Amino acid sequence: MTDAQSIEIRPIMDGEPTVDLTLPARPESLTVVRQALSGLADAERWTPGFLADAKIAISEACSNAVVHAYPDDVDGGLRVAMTLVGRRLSVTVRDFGTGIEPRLVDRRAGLGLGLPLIAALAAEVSFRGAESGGTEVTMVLEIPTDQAQ
Amino acid sequence: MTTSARIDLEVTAGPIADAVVRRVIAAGAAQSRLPIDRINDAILAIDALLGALAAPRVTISIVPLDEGIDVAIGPTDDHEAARILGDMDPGGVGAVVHGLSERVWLDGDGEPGRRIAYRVGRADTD
Repeated sequence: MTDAQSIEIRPIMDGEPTVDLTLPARPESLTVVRQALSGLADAERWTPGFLADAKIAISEACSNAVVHAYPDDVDGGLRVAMTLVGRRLSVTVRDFGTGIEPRLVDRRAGLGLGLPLIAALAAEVSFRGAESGGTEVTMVLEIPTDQAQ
Repeated sequence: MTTSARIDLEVTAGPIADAVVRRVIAAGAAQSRLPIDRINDAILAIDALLGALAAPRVTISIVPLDEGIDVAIGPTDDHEAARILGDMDPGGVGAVVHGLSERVWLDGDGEPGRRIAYRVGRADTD
């Protein structure tokens, strides 16, 4: 029997992320983020196509933070907050580094597809420098209504 | 313990937590190169704990180690944790967690911020 009165039950607030991850800004963290997204897809029964698009967009934002947010000798953090609101998935990727200027074409990233790729896959995307330092990328992806597999 | 490798997850309890947590545990455990059977043990333990906690939103931390992983889940308090971990009947949550882990302990500074923590390492080989 649970003694509910001895436990603080915090109500779920509007806007509280459905899934909120904080992890090191390292390449291996992208696997963790993608697995969290796959778990969300399992629970919400997303189509494989939408999951693939979401993984690409979010991985791109995370990669930017892993590669560019911190000097090589700094072990920085990365926060990925995923919020489901109706048929929309809002994802914020935040680093706490020195702040990078989001460039539409970042040739250091290789093909230079980077941020335009996120813009192509997301219904909305925004970038801002966070007040406490670092960069915040927020994207909104529209979840297709056809869930037939 | 390499705290800089720590993964913190906060998720709404229920079907979403069930699906997300297992995958995140597996991904974190893979960084410590645990064999697949021990990764499954870590997932079984967290599954048992997820079903036992009353909180509508859970926080989990995963620390990949050279020799395994440390996992902590909350929020809970001393009373609830004692009830959960004391369930030592066959198939009980306490029996499952203790049976699959090298070590089980309570993390956190005090109510209501306590967390149940466990360590899963490589199984001994003969």
